[in-house]
Parts: sequence; structure tokens; C-alpha cells
Amino acid sequence: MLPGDKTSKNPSSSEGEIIGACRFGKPHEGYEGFEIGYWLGQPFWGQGHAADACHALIDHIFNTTNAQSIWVSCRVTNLRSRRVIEKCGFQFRESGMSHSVALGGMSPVERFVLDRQIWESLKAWGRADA
Amino acid sequence: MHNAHIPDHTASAIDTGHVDITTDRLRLQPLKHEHKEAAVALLAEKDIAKCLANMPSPYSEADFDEFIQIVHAEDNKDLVLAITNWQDGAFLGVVSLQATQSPDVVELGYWLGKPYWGIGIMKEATMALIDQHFAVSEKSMIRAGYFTDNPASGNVLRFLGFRDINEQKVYSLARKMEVDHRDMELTREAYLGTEQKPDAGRQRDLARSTSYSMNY
Repeated sequence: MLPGDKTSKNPSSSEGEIIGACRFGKPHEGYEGFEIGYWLGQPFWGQGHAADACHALIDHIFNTTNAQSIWVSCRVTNLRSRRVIEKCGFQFRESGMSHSVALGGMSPVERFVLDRQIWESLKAWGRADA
Repeated sequence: MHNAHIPDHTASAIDTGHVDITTDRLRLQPLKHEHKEAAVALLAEKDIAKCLANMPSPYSEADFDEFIQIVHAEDNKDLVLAITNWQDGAFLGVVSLQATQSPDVVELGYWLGKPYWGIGIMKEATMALIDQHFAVSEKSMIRAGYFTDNPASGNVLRFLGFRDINEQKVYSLARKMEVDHRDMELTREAYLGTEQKPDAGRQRDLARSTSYSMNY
């Protein structure tokens, strides 16, 4: 979890225990900005932790880089992950194929994008002191 | 829903013109003058204003002009979005998040043209807006409410994870009387932990529901 992400601690886990991970890096070839990814240990599913962590990651990327867009993808069959992505404000952009190490081959994915302009508009609008 | 609030005139202008949210069937963008004709036509159906506290009925073009003037005013702090069919651009209704006197709290409001009731449009629109809101905004509480004789609106709020907090009488401008009203609230924490299962209606083809054409 990211430093400064105060809300991602799980009360059922001991302090500082790793419950999952998220990362950002270069997007697939042909895409601009950054791509994020995440996973969460199964005992910690369904409590909003993945969305919470990704919110912090997205803020970090837009606050510390000049990226204009952030990409994320999930397997078409992974509806839970799709909801995490939607809850982070991403919008569906396209369907495609992606290599899965776990599956040992290509699998159909959906790709989603979050544009800086929308993030900035809503950030300014939603400031607690605004 | 369109409940009155006291505007905070210390607010600075906030540019929400870039807000553009697309869902499976819908597009949410700032409400504009160009939506007037369609909005007035849909609001000729008086059942809509009866579900709302502050919607005039009958609804005139002047009412729309007045509302849009407030929305576009320099000191406006409300996010008021037109719901359109992203395929053909048809105007379907409005969804809004309005500032309140409490800096941490916004109020959700919405209305939908009657031909589009019952096919999950409002669940889809509100879910997309609240997704965006809680992803980005620091305001961690959303309030909403509905007249208890309009259970469809309550179903939307419960689907999103809102919980009951209070019941009271609220004056309805359209009905010219006080009506039983249920107040509800949703925290960011509760929302993130709630699994909103895609509504069955979300799979339906919006084009089929528009076969009514514009009979109003």
C-alpha cells in the first residue's frame, strides 16, 4: 500500500501486514501516460480496499507526473475487478487481448482510461474547503 | 432531489466543463441551454415534478432558463449533468451533486423522463457519477432523499448503498403540500465496500425503450 494511504488498513489484519499490492508503470506499446495494476489477497476482497488503494495511486500519479491519462485493464470475466476500475473513475475504452502469465497465453481483456482533465475538474470541485 | 440549499457566496468559480462520463448506455455532461427543448418536453409529464421537492409544475422554458442561470453562475458549486443516450445524443434526464452548507457533504439529486423509467437508467447514471465523485473528491458523504410514495427512487438509493437516516415531511412545490420524505446517506467508506451488481436493465437496449419517439 502507498505511504500516506491511511484508509487501506484492514482491521482484521495485523498492523503493517501486506494484504495486496498495486503498481504503476509504462503502458502497453501505443498507449500514452501510465498503466496501473493491482491485486488483493482473497480474504480482503469485497471491502473496498482495492479501490481505496487505487484512488491513492491515481492521485499520486497525477500529482507527481504530467501524465495526461492512466490506463488499466482487466479480464472480461473478472466483474469484481471491473467494479474496482469503475469505482476509480475509469471509463471503458476498448476490448483487446492481453498476455496472461498465469493462463500461459492470450486472454480477452477490457481496457479503461482515466483522463487528467476529468480528474482535475472533479478534484477542484470536490475539495473539502472549496 | 433538487432540495433547496443555501448557496455559499464565498465560493470561487469551479470549471466542471470537462466532466464527461460514459457508461454502457449513457453519457453524462454538464447541463446546457441546448437541452432546454427536450427537458421542457419531458417535464410536461407532471408525475416527474410530483417526485421532487423544488420542481415547478407546470414547467416552462423560463423555469429552465432560471435554473441554468444558477447552474452557470460564477459562484455555482453544483455539478449538474445532463443524462443522454450516448448513441444518439437523446436527452433523458438530469443527475446532480449539489454543495451543502457542510463542506464534507454533497447532495444527490436526479430526475428522468418518464419514457425511460424502469430500465435501470438512473441506477447506471447515479452509479457512474458517484464512482467518479468518490474516486476523486474529498467530500466523503452524500445525502439524498425521496418521497416515500415513489419507491422506485428509494430502490435506486438502496442499490447504491444509501441507508435510511430520517423521515420527515417535506414540502413539494408541484403538489403544494407536505409529503412523507425519507432522508438517506452514503459514506465513501460504505460505498467502496458495497458491491453494486449491474442491474438487469443495464443489459437492455436503450434504443428499444425510445420507440415512444417524442409524443409529448
